[in-house]
Amino acid sequence: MSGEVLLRVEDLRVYFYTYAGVVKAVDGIDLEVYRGESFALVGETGCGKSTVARAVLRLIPPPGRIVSGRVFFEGRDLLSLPEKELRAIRGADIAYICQDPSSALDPLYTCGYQISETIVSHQGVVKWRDAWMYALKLLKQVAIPEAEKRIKNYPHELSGGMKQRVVISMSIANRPKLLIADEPTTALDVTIQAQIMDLIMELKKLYNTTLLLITHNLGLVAEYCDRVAVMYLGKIVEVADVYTLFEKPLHPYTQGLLKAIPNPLKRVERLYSIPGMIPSPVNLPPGCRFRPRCQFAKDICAREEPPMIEVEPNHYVACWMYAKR
Amino acid sequence: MRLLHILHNWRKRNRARLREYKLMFTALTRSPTAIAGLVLSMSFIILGIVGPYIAPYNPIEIDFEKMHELRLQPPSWEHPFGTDEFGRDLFSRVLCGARISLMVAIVVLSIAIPLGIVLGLIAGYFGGVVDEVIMRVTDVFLSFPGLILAIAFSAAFGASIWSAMAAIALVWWPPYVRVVRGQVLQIKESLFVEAAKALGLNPLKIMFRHILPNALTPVIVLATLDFGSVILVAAALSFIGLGAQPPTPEWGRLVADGRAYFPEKWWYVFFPGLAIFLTALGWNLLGDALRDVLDPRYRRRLEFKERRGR
Repeated sequence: MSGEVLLRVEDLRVYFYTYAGVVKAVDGIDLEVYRGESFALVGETGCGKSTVARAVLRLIPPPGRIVSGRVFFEGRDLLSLPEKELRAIRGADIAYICQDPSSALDPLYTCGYQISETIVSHQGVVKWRDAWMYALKLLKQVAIPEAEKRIKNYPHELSGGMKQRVVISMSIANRPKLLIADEPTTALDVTIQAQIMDLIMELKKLYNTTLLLITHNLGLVAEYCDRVAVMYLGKIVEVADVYTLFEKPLHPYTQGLLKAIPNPLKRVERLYSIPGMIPSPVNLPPGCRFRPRCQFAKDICAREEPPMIEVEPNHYVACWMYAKR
Repeated sequence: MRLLHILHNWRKRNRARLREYKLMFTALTRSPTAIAGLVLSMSFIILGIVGPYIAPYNPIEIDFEKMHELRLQPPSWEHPFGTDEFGRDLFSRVLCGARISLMVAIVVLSIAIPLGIVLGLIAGYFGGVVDEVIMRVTDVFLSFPGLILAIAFSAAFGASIWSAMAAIALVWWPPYVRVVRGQVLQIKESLFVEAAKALGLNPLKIMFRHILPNALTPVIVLATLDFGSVILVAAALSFIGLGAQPPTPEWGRLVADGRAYFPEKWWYVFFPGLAIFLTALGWNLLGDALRDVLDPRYRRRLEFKERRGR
């Protein structure tokens, strides 16, 4: 798969300087997201996938710091952009949908006010009244019933799924080119999950947006995404398109992840789980990060970090099993 | 008809908000102490506004002809609070004193609170060196007892009611910085602030539109409690001769003047003192009640009780 690169992340490193030591949440990752695709960043809790999303918008709260790396969005390096220009991009060109819709809305303002505010702050000339009308249109677009009534509601008067719809309508208010959805369905019921994902995909198509989906739910990935990057402890271990990844996972971690998905058609005594624990991100093991839990570990894995290699076209993996050495 | 229709629609649209107001009202009128606080503080405000107009005698001018026969009279129908050493009606003087106290409280708080809020917002939001500098300066102010510092400032500015106000305002902002900063630190971490940042709102908008309104509840409570305290401190300054100067009928001043005739002419000290006491008490009771009223969880509990009762 090829096409124009919309977002390119190069050697991104985000460290958190805590009292316990330096937590290397993101430790040198490279990514390319093509215009128009749905790209998924998968990994277990704490592997740094949300941190990547925040780093793209430079929203890392202290004590975290972006230590190195570059994030090119349409050719411009977001990490070296002045704050003011970056603000013009946030919410307009790149929108961000966060995990928990119930706290993503300010409890003191109506939904309509909050949507209008994002419109007005990016399109200064727009009158409040017009922004309000547009907000109403957006609410209808995200399929909120009785939008005329809901627009004047406060967040506490809405259900979780409804709030997420409002958050989504805010994020698409300025027709972003890139939509970063950070586990948009984790806080919702399974039944609502599908609705919300369908909605996001529908809007993606409608506005011709690129989607960067951050999730730990491989089901969502299989259903909605074109390409996948698997993250483990701050590093990307495998990148491939969805079909290849699910059919022929190469990295032992990816294989383990896929094996750990319960299959409703098979009856198993015990669900597979990857042996061992995630090592502390403060004291990373030398060499390959996955080595302590890997059943194929060799001598070299303990000594050197595996390089990212293209095993077959557009299928990258960072593992010594595939590297020529 | 049309007007009724508009009103009806307005009520329908703002149902949720009206419901909250109604619950606030219920919360406020539920406890007897809250009602007492409300009555005391509201009557103080009303007297502060209309006091000088309803005072039966001139509170400042001395009637030299009758001065000797009117001097230090005990309370009577003509002079409910008695008279002072110049034959002036104490009731009128106490009434007019309400306006001075009201003015002092309003002026002091309207300087101290905005100052405290802005400094607290900046310190909490930006953190780092800015926070460190603001908070250390605040700590320096807080390390002296407020009254002592106010006395020092007031003495330095010269004795007048205005210098007393300036002095009190100067020592009154630090608690607000602390309270607001604490709130901001907490709210800053909430997801909606991050969302606002991700949506590209500018920091000023985030600070004043999204963080400040969410941080305001404890400020309102503190301000109400302080309304009484400021009046108390102003009276204290006047009592030791640093605030209002004669013939201003300031309550602390009246108590100070009456001290010389105590205890034989008890009314001279008693009535102004009672006024100070009731005012301070009223605002304290109201502040305590507001703490409950402004707490949404308390309102939800009320709602629950109400439903169960039905």
